[in-house]
Parts: sequence; C-alpha cells; structure tokens
Amino acid sequence: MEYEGGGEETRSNKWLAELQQDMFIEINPADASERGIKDGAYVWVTGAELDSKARMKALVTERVGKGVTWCPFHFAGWFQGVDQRGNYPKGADPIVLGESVNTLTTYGFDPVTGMQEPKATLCQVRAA
Amino acid sequence: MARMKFLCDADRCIECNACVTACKNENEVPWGINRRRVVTINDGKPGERSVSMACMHCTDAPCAAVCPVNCFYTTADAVVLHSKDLCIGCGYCFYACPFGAPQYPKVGNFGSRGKMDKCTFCAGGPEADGSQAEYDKYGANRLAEGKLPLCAEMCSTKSLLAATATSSRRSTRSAWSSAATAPAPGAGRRPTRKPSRLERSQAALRHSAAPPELSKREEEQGGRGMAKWQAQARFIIGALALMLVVAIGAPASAQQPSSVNPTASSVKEDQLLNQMKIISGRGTIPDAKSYNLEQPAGRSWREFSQVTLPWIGAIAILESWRCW
Repeated sequence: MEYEGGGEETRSNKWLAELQQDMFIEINPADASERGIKDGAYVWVTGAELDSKARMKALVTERVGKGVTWCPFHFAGWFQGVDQRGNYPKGADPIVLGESVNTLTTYGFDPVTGMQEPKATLCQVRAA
Repeated sequence: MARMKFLCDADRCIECNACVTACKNENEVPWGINRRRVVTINDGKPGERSVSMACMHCTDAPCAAVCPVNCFYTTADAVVLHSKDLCIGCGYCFYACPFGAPQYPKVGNFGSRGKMDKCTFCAGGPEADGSQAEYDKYGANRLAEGKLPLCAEMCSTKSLLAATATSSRRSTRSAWSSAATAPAPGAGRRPTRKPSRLERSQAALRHSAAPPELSKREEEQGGRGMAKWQAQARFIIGALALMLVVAIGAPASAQQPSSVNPTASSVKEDQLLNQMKIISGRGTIPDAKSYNLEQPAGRSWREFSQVTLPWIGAIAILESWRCW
C-alpha cells in the first residue's frame, strides 16, 4: 500500500498517487462470483449503521478469505459516491480522492475503556 | 569490461514499490510512464512472489534489433541506451521486448506515441554526461558520478541489486548476507541461499538463446561462399549449396534447445516459461500490460529472426538461382 495514515499528504505526492489511484475493497473470488463482481469494477459497500454506503473498486483476490473483506483507511474526498473535490480549499485537494472507510465503520466502543472500534465492522458488498 | 546488470530476488521483494518511486523521483519521469514496476505473481496464494521489473539491458537486445532507425546503442558498461533524437516512437521495441520495458508518452489524439522512454540504468543518454539536456531527456546520470541506479540503492530488503555481471553473484551474496546480519527486523531471512527462481530462469534463457546465433552465422558464410563461384558453374554450385544447406541443417536442428540442458531445475523452468508463454501477475499501476512479467513477443521474435527467417532466405536464394 502506497499511502500513510489518512493519506492527505501521500495522496498529494504525484509519484505515490500514480501507484494507487482508487479506493478499493479486497474481496475473495468466491464472494465476488456470488455477487457478480468483477475485478476492478465499482461496488457499493454498505455498513451496519445509519444506511451508510460507500462506492469503491473491487480487488478480487485470495489475500482475504471467504466472508471477509478488507479496505485501506488511506482515502478520503468522496462521500457516499459523490466526489467532494470542490469543497477542498483551493490548491489543497490531493491528486487522488476516494471513499473514506470511516463512513462504514460503526460507532461501537469498548464499554470498559471507552476505546472506539474503528478497525472492524460488518458490511455487505454489491455490484454498482 | 564491466557488464552492468540488475538482479531481483523474488524471495526477498516485499512489493513496497520504493524502487518505482525512487526511479520517478530521481529521473523526473512524468505521470503515466513507469520505467520500473513491481509484478506480483500467485497473488494471495501460497508461493506468492514479487519481482521488480525494468529494462534488463540485454547483451543481444531484441529492441535494438528491430529498431528501424537504429536509435539504440550499448555503452562500454553494457548498458542499453537509446537516442530520443533518433527515436520515431514507432513502438516496435515494445513488441520485441520480452519484459515490457519500453514506455511511450501519449502526445496526441488517437493514442499517438511520443519518443520511447525506458530505464537507462541511471546512465543518461548520448548527450554529454551530466548536462542539462541529458537530464531533461533521460533523467539522472548516476553511473557517470560513480553511483549505482537509485532503485537498487534504495531497496530496503536488498532484493533488487545492481552490479557488474562478472561480480554480481559474489556481490549479491555479500549484500544479501550483510542484509541478513543487519539489525533491521525482517530485512533478511537467510545468510546463504540457493539461486532464486528468476536467476535460474535467466540462466536457462541464456542457455537456450546461444545455439540459434551459431546456426545463423554458418548460413551467412555459406551464402557468401556461393556468391563467389556463381559465374563459373551455376548449376553445379547450386546443387552443392543444396547439399551444404542440408548438411548444416542437420547439426543446426540438433543444436536447438530440446533435450540438452546442464541442470534439471533450469529444464523445468524453461519448459514452464515456454508452456505458459506469458507470465502475468498483479501490479498497482493502472495499466494491465504492466502486469505481464514476461511476454512471448521477444522469444517468438528471436526464434523467427534467427532461425526461421535465415532458412526462408536461404531457400529463396537457392530457388532463384535454380530458376535463373
């Protein structure tokens, strides 16, 4: 993965931005074929709460097992399928924008420590 | 004389793409052109391997052989360079290159190509070493400054190495073993190692490429010898030449890489390469062509130009004499 953190800096670097130009979701070939998803095609990913949804590209790969998907957290700039480039201050928009995975993650937290759960969530994927 | 080569150990590459980025940074390569790329084969499966690919600076470069304007040349360090002043962007070299090294900027409508761009081994171009004109066209000339290409210098796992071919085995071994003793976690796994799959396949390819050159040379000498005698006894010489071709043909076909091979592992690798014809993996650059680790164009071109074409030529010459 070419980016670091939220990616605002690294997605503004032309040499890094060229290597990964789209937000993506890794999905197992078995899951993808059940849903008619092709490698590189756009999909809608829906989260568990508040009808959250995100539009990103599918990376059909055996890196992830069946029933599990994986998304990078380095993207921002799209919200529920709409490009928000115009809302950036002039000249501050990164070269590459994409859907933020935080749109999908839940508001769940650990009741003892109060620590939020930003790394895992339930989701469903369908072809866009 | 030094023969500069890249060597990438697929067992060590972690697909971090630092070589790609380093190359773009050092040579100011524009968006859309990638002189170096990382291809991952068996992605997500057991036996996943990544290889960093760029121009291999072939000794007998197929790109140079097909170039209609002869813009390629080989430096004293055996680095294959080209002149962008001569290049017409025809794209022949892309089809001849087995490794997909030549890149072309899109300069106009209908996908018209600009001047070819490829890895220069950080050795610039035909312009004066270190001049601004050279930098603008070809990027940095690190070799003239006594430095190795930045991609290899920057490789964090010492997977990609640049060295002279004569010393590469020794220097790679020492580089790898020093990386293995370095404190960085995960930087090295083994102090000593067997030749990697890539090295073995390269050795196998080198082995299989030699005999056709030999047969071509023999046939050319045969053709010249016949031309001298032509005026005196056309028919007799024609018959003799036919016998000569048959006599050469038998050993030439025996020289083809069919059964003879010194090591069993390279036999398997070579057979594998020929069966699959195209070795493809996964990459990050949004250009599906760049995911092909090796394409058959180079191999089939070599077979055609060094074996098939001389045969067709020899038969055509003999036939024209007979009819005359």
